[in-house]
Order: sequence, then C-alpha cells, then structure tokens
Amino acid sequence: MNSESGATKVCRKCNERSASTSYTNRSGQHSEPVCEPCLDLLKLQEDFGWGIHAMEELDEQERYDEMLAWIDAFEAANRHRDQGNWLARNAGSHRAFVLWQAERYEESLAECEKCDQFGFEDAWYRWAAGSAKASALEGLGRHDEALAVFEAAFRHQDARFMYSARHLMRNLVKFSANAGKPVDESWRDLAKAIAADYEVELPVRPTLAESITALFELTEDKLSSRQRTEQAKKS
Amino acid sequence: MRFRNVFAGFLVPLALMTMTPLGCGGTQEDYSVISPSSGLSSAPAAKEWEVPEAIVETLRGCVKEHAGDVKGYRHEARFKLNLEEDGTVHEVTMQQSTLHLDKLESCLQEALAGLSIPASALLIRSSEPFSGGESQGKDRAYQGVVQAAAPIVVIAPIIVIAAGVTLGVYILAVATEEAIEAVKRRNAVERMCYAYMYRCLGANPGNCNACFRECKRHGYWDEGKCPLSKPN
Repeated sequence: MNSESGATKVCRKCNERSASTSYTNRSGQHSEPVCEPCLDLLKLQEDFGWGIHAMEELDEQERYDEMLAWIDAFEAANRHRDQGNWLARNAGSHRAFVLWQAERYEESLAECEKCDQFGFEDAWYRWAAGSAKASALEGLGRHDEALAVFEAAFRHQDARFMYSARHLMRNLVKFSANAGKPVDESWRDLAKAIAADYEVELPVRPTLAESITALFELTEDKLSSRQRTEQAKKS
Repeated sequence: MRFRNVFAGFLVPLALMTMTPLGCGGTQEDYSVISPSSGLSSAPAAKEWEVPEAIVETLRGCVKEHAGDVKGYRHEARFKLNLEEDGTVHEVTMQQSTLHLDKLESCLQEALAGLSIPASALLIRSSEPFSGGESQGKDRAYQGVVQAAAPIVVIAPIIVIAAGVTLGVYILAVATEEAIEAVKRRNAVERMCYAYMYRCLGANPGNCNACFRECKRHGYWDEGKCPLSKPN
C-alpha cells in the first residue's frame, strides 16, 4: 500500500499525501515518514494521550473534577489543532468516561450523545461508543435501554475486529442478563463466526449466553485469524 | 473465610474505638480508631458523603416514638454495618448502646439497614498500612497518605434530637469480602490498563486513549486495535 520504495514516500498516517517530514514519538521508539498535517495530528494525539496518562494519580484519588478540568482546558487550548474532530471526539468520550467513573451517569450519557454527533472512525469506535452509552444507562438503572443501545452499535459488524468482538460478546451477555433477558438468538451467527475465527466450535450449552461464556474461556489462549496472520508475517 | 479471619483481628480493637463527645457540630475528625497494627491514627472517614436525610428522619421517628420509655435525656448507640459490593447494607449489628431499650434499638437498626453507601465514599482503595497520624486535615484524602488499612470507614455521627432526647448514632461501615475483592479487581484492572497505555503511547498514540477507556471499562486491552509495539 505504501510506496516507500518509490521516489516519493507516502505519508504512513494518511496514506494519501506525500511524506514531507517524519514523526518520532516521545519515547523515541518509533519513527515514520509523514506529511505536515498528519505530523500535527500525531503530536496532538500524543500530547492528549500523555496528558491522560499523567492523570493516573488524580484518577486513583477520584479527583474527577480536576480530571474534567484538565480535559476541558486541553481541548480549549488545542481546538485549533484538531483535525476531523479527533480531539472533540476523544475529549468528549473521555469526559463521558470520567463522569461515568464519578457515577454522574446523566452527564455521562449526555456527553456520549454529544460524541455520537461526530460520527465514528470505524465499527470498533461505534462499539466503544455504544458500550459507553450502555454503561451510563446501566448506571441509571435503565437496563433495557442499555441493552438496546449496545446491541444497535454492535450490529455494525466488521470482521477486522473479531478479536474485539470476542470480548464484546461478554458485554452482550452482561447487558442481557442485567436487562433480565436471554441473549437474543440473532447473535448466534456472530458467536459461530468468532468461534470459526479462533478455529474452534461454538460450545453447545443450554443457553446462548452460556455458550458465549464457554467460547470465551475456550479461546482464552488462542489467536484470532488476524493475530495468526500478523504472527506469521513477523516470523 | 479469609475475610472473617482478617476481621477477627480487627473486631477486637473496635472495642477500643475512642470517640470524643460530640455536639451537633461534630465532624469526621471527632473519631479515632486504635489500629491493631500501627497504633493510634485517624480512621478513614466517608468521603464527601452524608447519611441521606430520609434515613435521619426515620431515626428521628424512632426516637420520637419511643422517647417516653427512654430513661435519661442523653444517649449514644453504636452500630456496625456490613456492606455488600454495591454499597447496600448486608447486616447491621449494634455494638453498644446506652439506651437499654430493645424496641428503639431495633427501630434504629432497621432504619440503618436501608442505607446504601456509594463505593466512592469508601476509602478501600489501598492496602497500605495506616500512617502514623500525619495529614489529619481535610485534605488527607487528596494527599494519599492516610488510607484505609482495611475496608472500614466511619461515617460522621448522626445527632438526633427528638422529644427531649439527644441521641448520638455512631456508624462503622465494613465492606464484605466480596466488596473487597471487587475493589481489588478494579485496582488490578486500572494498573493493568495504565501499563498498557504507557506501552501503547510508546508505540503509536493514535488509538491509545480509546483502548484505554475500553480497558478500564471492560478490563481488557484490545491489542488488535491498539498494538503495544509498532510492527516493523
């Protein structure tokens, strides 16, 4: 995909523009040719990411207002650097997460809804957003809605993220149980697809929820097809 | 059960719990606990949380109802609450009372059974031993110095004045084994996610934050989405 062998290198971030500079991450472990706009975005992502990492102590001490203040301040100071609403999406979803941790579920839900307006980069982000919103609804005791929201997001399947789907199937079991419902039979095909991806059979159990749980345990130490491919490439 | 054994050692010192007399303006600092392991230190107090007014009102109702049978006008009753993982009360036991009136004590006990203490109010995040009395001020929770040696927390006393009787209700909340384990699990997950976050940031920061949120929420790091090392 990348034309590094050609005379002009293509930006490794966007795979579109030509690489006019290079990006080296803060730890110095990684460097790659990128274009100027992507360099700005990568630096923004890095600054935000390290800022979140630095909040560990605040988090441990449950100083949620200070965490929210940091996110707000970072967003305000860096809005001009944002591209494709990356910062708006991430600041919003982090706010939603911190509010959820602080058990301020109504506000968390409101932030999730704001974030939805920015769209999703891919199915994985849609699942993550659905999960976040469902968690806020669960906090409010609205379990039926939580399940519905999660299922709606998770219906957008993408085979690239089978590894993640395996984990999220457990959330499906949890949200269904909390709503007092069995896991809907419509999810059986996905469960089978996950099993196939891990080269096992879907365990037969009295309920689909139990089959999914058993599948998760069965595949604990196995690699997904994508992971196997990556491993083969490396070796 | 391990929890019982742990607390077998903790319950004896509870008898040594000292409390300074309180007026209506009593604060969390009015308590102190003799820790079995480290001598006198400040007991952890429920953070920014107070007993809901509805419960206080029920307690007041108990006093009003039975005031006629109470001898004397100034009393105190001490209760221990065993909490479930979700903060609801699993069991209330009366430890000491100067009331000597079963009906009133039972009424108070029933009222306290309706309490629910949010996890955020319980300082059960650390297994560090008590520090020796430093950082006694309001900011102690922020300094991370005085933390709970065990999942135990005192709640600011409730002073009920009704029908001429003043009653100090003292509450000691103790988390159940399940609650302790839940918090330990949560802490383990947090540490794991931060460690992954660091490695992810060292590789490529693009998706780390989203994976970090998911990790903390659901307990796994999605290497498929957020590789921890940059493929060459």
